[in-house]
Amino acid sequence: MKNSLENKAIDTFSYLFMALFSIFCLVPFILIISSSISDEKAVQLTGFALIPKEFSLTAYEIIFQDNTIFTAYKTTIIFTVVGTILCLIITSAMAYAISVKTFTHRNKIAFFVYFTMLFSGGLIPSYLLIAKYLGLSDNIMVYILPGLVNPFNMFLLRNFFKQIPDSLAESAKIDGANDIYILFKIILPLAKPAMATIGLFYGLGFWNEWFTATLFINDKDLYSLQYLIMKVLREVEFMYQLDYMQGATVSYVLPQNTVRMATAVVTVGPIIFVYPFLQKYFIKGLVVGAVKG
Amino acid sequence: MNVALSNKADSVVRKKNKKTFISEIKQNFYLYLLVLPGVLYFFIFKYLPMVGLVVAFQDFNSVKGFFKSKFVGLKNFEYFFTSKDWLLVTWNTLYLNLLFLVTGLFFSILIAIVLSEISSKSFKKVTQSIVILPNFISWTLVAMFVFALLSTDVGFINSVLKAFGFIQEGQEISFYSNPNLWVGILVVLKIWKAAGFGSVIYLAAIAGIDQEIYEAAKIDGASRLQCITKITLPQLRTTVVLLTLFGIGGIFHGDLGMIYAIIGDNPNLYETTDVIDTYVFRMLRQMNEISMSTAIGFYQSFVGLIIVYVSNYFAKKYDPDSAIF
Amino acid sequence: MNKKWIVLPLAATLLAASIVGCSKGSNESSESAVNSSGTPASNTAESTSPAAKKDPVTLNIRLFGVENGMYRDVDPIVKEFEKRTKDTLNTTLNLTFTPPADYGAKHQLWIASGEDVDLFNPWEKDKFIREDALADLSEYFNNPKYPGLQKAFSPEYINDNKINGKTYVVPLTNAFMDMEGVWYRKDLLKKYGMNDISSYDDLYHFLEKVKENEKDMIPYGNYGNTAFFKLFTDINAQQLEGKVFPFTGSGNPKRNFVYVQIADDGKSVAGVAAYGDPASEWANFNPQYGLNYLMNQFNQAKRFNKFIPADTMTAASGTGKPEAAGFATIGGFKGKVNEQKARDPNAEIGFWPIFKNNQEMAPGTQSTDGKAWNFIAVPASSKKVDRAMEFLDWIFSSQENNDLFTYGIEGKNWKSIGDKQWDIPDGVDTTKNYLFPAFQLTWNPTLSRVPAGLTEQVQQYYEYQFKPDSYQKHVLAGFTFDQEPVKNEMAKCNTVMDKYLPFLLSGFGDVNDNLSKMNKDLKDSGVEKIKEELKNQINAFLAQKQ
Repeated sequence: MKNSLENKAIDTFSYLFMALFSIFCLVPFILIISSSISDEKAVQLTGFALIPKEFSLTAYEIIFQDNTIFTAYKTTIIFTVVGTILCLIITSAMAYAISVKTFTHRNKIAFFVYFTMLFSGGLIPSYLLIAKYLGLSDNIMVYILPGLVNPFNMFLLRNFFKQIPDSLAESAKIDGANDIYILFKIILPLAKPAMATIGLFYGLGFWNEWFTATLFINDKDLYSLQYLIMKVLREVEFMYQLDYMQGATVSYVLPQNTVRMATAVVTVGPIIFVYPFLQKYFIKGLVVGAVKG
Repeated sequence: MNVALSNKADSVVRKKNKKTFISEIKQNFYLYLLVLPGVLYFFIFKYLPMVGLVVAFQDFNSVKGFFKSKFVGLKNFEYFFTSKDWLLVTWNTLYLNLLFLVTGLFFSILIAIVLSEISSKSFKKVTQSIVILPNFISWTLVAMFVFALLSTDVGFINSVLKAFGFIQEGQEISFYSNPNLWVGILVVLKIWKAAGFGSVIYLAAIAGIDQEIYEAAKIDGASRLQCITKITLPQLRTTVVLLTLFGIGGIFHGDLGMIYAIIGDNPNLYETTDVIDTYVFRMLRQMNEISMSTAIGFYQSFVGLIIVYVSNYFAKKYDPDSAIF
Repeated sequence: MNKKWIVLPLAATLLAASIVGCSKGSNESSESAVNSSGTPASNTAESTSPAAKKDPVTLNIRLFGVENGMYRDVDPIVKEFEKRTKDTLNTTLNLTFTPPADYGAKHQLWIASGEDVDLFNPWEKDKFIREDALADLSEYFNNPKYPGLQKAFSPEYINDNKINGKTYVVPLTNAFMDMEGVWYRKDLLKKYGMNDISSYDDLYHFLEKVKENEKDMIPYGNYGNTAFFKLFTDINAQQLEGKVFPFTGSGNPKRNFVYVQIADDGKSVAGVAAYGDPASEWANFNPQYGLNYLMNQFNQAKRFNKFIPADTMTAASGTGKPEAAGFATIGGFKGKVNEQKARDPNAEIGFWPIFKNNQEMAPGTQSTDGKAWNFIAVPASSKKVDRAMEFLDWIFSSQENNDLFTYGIEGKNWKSIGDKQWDIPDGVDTTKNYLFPAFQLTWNPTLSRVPAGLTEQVQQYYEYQFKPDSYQKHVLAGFTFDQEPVKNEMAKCNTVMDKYLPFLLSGFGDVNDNLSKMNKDLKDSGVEKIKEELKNQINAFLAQKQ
């Protein structure tokens, strides 16, 4: 009796809370979508609205008129996929090693890694290293190499690994397996939720990459998607002033706000599309016994 | 159980310490092999550029470079620590970050637990996808929405209040000149933007809990609330402690991107919202003094390091599994 | 730093506007350059480089720009240049553009890493010069070996733009002002039966009417925390008549916090006072341009405060209620007209210059130090200084050469009308046409064209600002305040300015209360040391001048 009341209370609270919080998160996003397909003038005069006013696709036309955007998609997908895989391998290797309690220097290495979360040498030495000494300018690897291991992700993963009972690795060791075998054949299959999470973080990091491009990429074929989108946004912002420069009469209101909204949609769109595929890994519970057997 | 295990491990470690370097490497050869690429990466891409930290103590000259620029001791720190408001902005930074940290943890965990308690798969999936959305909206866009909501002339809130007759023309709430409201507003915005996405980590941690434990508890007659408090929350502890330690390490770094986008150069609101980063940004934006800005960044990191070192010591003492190092 | 990245391109484009849009004045300029040289323009390139064909070289030129916003379709022009000079300069150009938002950080990195750059725009020129990062270009000017440079850069122009007595940066500009004023909705003015605005009282009455009658309008609309910016000031009269100089923002009230009075004989400093200082500190000031002038500025802001949006302090650009008036420059005026017409086709826009001498277009009343607003320089690490300067020499050697980069290929991208005007040919799509940030490479007072078809009033203003005799050098021309010795105090005073000036300049709060608080904070931040340093540097400058 008490349990069923408690059940009901938990259910009610859970559903209500998630429903409300979702609305709280969704409304601004609907405003973004609706503004992005509205006429700029209507948005400027009457503000944002849930239902598009004076439907217009001008903002999207402006973003996609630049046909280099497809090259940018290709480039970005390549370094996102390759980069995420590489990062996952190297990060999980490192995280596993320092999660093993018999590994003498694990805490020293952990500190060695953590220190870089607090201190960095700044832009100039990194630029010197990457552009001058490693010569990675205008090379697709420049998107991947400088961000190969994210300390935050590494530590998260280490903690997940720590949760896995030591007995599994120990029994494998007795059977003569080495650490590399244990990591890939025993630990990683058990750490799917964690790997999916870290993979998501890495993937999003690559997908949203623009700063690297501003520093190291001049070749248009190697622009990242975010950099290109930012470039389009800047162009539109400058078109106001272009108007001054040429003294030409522009008979429409330039879609500054709506393009800004549309860029948000174009960025988030693919994420929403891919997300459900990853979601199943960290929404479903794990049964260790099943893997053990 | 955890403590006992690691004590045992520690004693093993101590014994091994006496061995030579070579035999140590032989012993853990594969672990060293696994850790090597990562260590190399950090050495090349993170530690080599750290030579740049010397500019905090130099009158940096970009032609002369890091090795030939003149050293000036602690001179680059002077302007900040002799300024009028450095204590105020330091306090604001700590205060805001602490609020962000605590509320962020609370709501991320709440969302993760609530989601894991929801039985409808589709509802779970859809709402979980929705709550991560705000993470991808830039602070610039957020600032536009905040203004549309709160402004005196055209703000949604004031319009609604007027439409329902709660206030008259000329009695609008002036959000942008009232510093006391903004701590709350910033905290709400931070929760809105980060809590949903932050919950992914805890969801993954919950998904990583062996389902057999729950089954066993249920057979023993545990209620749902008991399962949450006795199984789920304790299992999240190491993650919570780890993320808290990270938060503490960065506690002296204000969120420039967020605060500058939303507050801008509005002096009305400095009293409660001005943090070290926005303050230093305003001090130096006309000057382009790399040495002076690096110095304050160094100070922020250095204090962070000390606090983390101490916190980590205690974390290690009470729960070795959740310490960073 | 961010702010600067925003402001600079803006200023740059406004500048661009003023060049492309103006310069009838240079018609009358006595130097009338180009064709007076007697050499047919098309031959100039050959005649400047008689030494026939040179070794091939590639110059790396790095400018800032946003594609389609500041530059477009530049390759064909570069090819054309290379074709024209194949037998003489034999130079290929590697011309790249960096978005203005990144340029500041990146050009720093190029210098620090000694990258192979031959020509660039040094935003931090004083800092770069202090670091010995720029090549000394003094010998290339007033040098018959470089006739193009000699002709286009008069000794006075070069002299005014020297730093530490040397030419490290090549000055690029067409005029030394971009006339500042207020734009207003003339159609509304007519509706209320009022005459054109010609004083602040006129403006006040107009805005009052707008506030009464147009419920959905913002009477005076400038967002950002600068609301009135240069209104209620008159920097020209202040400097020329009063010999009073605001520091450290000179023309920009947002960055001023100290006034300096130069003695009548112009030989020394007669007084230095910080905002909020007691009347005794102001005693030696010209009564018209000292404390009273400052108080008038703040009191007027207070009086006009009711016309600006309530949340103007937050930099958000607002959800656009229409506006009835605002700050504008003559260079940006045409764009303002278009913007307003796009919002309301009935809009008719007027322009009122806020400075008295501009209203009267009186000769010799525009205060100047003769400095350009944009510069191009050669890094000290470049191994091709001679070739880079030969390229610049080519650009400035004839109107034809100059036009090539400024407007593109004649007949295709633009057409010349008469001697000194230009237009876009019929049938050319302005959204696809060649576009170049000429203010970064080709601007010069002797080599400019006016766009065809301006209104008469605007043309007159342009004429005024391009007439050399509109200007007069003020007594501190050539002086630059070196902030290095007081950089700690400056950093601290920057935050004091940011804290109080927005209130004072926008008219929020009590003027005296804000001033006394500001003064206290300034004193705590070491303003006395800055005043002392300023006084010493200026006295040293004035002494050396004699």
